[in-house]
Amino acid sequence: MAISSTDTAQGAYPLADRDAEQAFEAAFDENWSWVCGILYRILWDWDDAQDLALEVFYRLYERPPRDPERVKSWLYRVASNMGLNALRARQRRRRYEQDAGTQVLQHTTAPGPADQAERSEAREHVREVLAHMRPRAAQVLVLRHSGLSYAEIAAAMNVAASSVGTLLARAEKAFERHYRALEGNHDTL
Amino acid sequence: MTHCRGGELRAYHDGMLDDRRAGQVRAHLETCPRCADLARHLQERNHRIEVWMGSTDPSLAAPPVEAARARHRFDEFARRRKDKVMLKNLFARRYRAAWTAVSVLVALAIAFSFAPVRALAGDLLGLFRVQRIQFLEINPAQLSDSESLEAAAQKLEGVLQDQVTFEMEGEPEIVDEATARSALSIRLPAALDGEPRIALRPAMSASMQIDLERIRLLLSELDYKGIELPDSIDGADVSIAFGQTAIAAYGACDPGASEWGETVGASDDAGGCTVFAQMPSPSVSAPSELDVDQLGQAYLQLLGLSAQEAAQFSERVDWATTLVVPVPSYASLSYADVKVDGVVGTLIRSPRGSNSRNEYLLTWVKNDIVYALHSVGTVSDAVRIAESLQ
Repeated sequence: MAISSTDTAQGAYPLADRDAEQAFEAAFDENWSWVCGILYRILWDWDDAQDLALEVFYRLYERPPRDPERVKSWLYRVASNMGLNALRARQRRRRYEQDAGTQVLQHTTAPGPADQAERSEAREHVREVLAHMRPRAAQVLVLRHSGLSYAEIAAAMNVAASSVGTLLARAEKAFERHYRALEGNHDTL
Repeated sequence: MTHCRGGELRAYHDGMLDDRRAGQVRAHLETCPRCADLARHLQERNHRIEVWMGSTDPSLAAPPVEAARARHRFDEFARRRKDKVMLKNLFARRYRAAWTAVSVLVALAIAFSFAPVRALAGDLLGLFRVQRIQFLEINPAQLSDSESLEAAAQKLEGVLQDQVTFEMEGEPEIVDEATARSALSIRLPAALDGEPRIALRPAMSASMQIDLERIRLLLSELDYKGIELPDSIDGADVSIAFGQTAIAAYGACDPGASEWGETVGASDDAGGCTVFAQMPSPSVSAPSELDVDQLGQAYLQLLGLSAQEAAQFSERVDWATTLVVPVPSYASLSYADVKVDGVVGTLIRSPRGSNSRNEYLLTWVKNDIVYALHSVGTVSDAVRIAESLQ
């Protein structure tokens, strides 16, 4: 279990180990934008995405995967997991606040052109749906739409590359069902 | 060629099949209206979802800060995070590894014996409610790969860390006695003088979805071959809930410590520091078909006990109510059952002669609350303090 034991003296990137430190810095520089992109896609907030990205890299700093070749897939997995966890927590908090009668801007539709408002609403729906889907289904969708290949998704999710298509097809079916249901609810409001 | 499966058509549409297979699928689609319909349906759905997901495209917004700048932020972030160690407040520094290990291992051990069904959320039940803590002295040399318990725990953490989700209900805060008493029904020892400084740690939960492939990999890394894992446990959900914890520090605890966990740890150096902690018994939720005894024995074997030793120990333990905390034998601690607060608790002492300060840790569980008292003194000092709770 990930008790956040943070004694970096025992971590795999101890400061004394210059090579390991350089490896971490290289991994950071190479993957920072990617990790932020995945998190941003889920959270649609750069501040939140970058804060969470720091957390992701801190986990890498503490306990990197044994095989350096797996750093990238490790980062994709952890980033998408943490992003979706944060999204679910945010949606729960929002529901709680709504139940409690707190004034919340549910649809933060910005004033502006119609297509911008439409996109903003679609974004809200996407986030709502991702928060409700099974975690692995949401994860495969986010990773695929972040531009990962099937091989990269397979490595990140610890599944066979040949099963990624099936996972995606199921996830998309579930996504559309949830999305349509949400649109229906919204239209009847 | 037989009909195409949806997943394969999806991969074909994405250009992710190898050339040979893609050619076969293409040829089949030309002659099979049913599969061609399915392919078209999947492709149309994919396009709709691409449009929806496209609304979250990061390129529509400003980019993140550059990696070099972000790395400066990371250095600061890492410095702050170094002090935040979950659960370290409950016991003194020397027990932290054991607590970490037990948390890791409980979660792992639970994974071992799920019934062959993928449990639905509705099938979960509160399985464990800790009513007793039992310390088990283990010899890390018995671990199969000859690594210390701490090293093994780290390895487990490393493998499982990204699969566990932690949720904390609020932020830790330091409060005065009146606030603490109004926030939750804590008991404090009247026998200690002075105003305690009280830290409240929020309730938190840890949940994990079993990834069987990774657990098998972990077991093979630990060179552990004793347990067969049924495929059906893959994907099952397990969660552990910890209630709000109150930690009260009395006396000369290190005032410079930035975190209360460090305050507790600092008591090693400050003879006048007494720390008293209390938290609701942790509870574990897991699919109801769990074979508790089997998983308990598996857990003991992971700690390095032989199958026979594990079976013998298991006979004396009620796994559903007992949290077994492994303590490395090299700590040379002594253990005694002590009647305290109307129940039987465990008093752990540092080895006689090696520590003139007579450090002790007294733990007990009463009314679903776990109590821990850590200080320096005699057995009767410990009991007197514990008996003065109000």
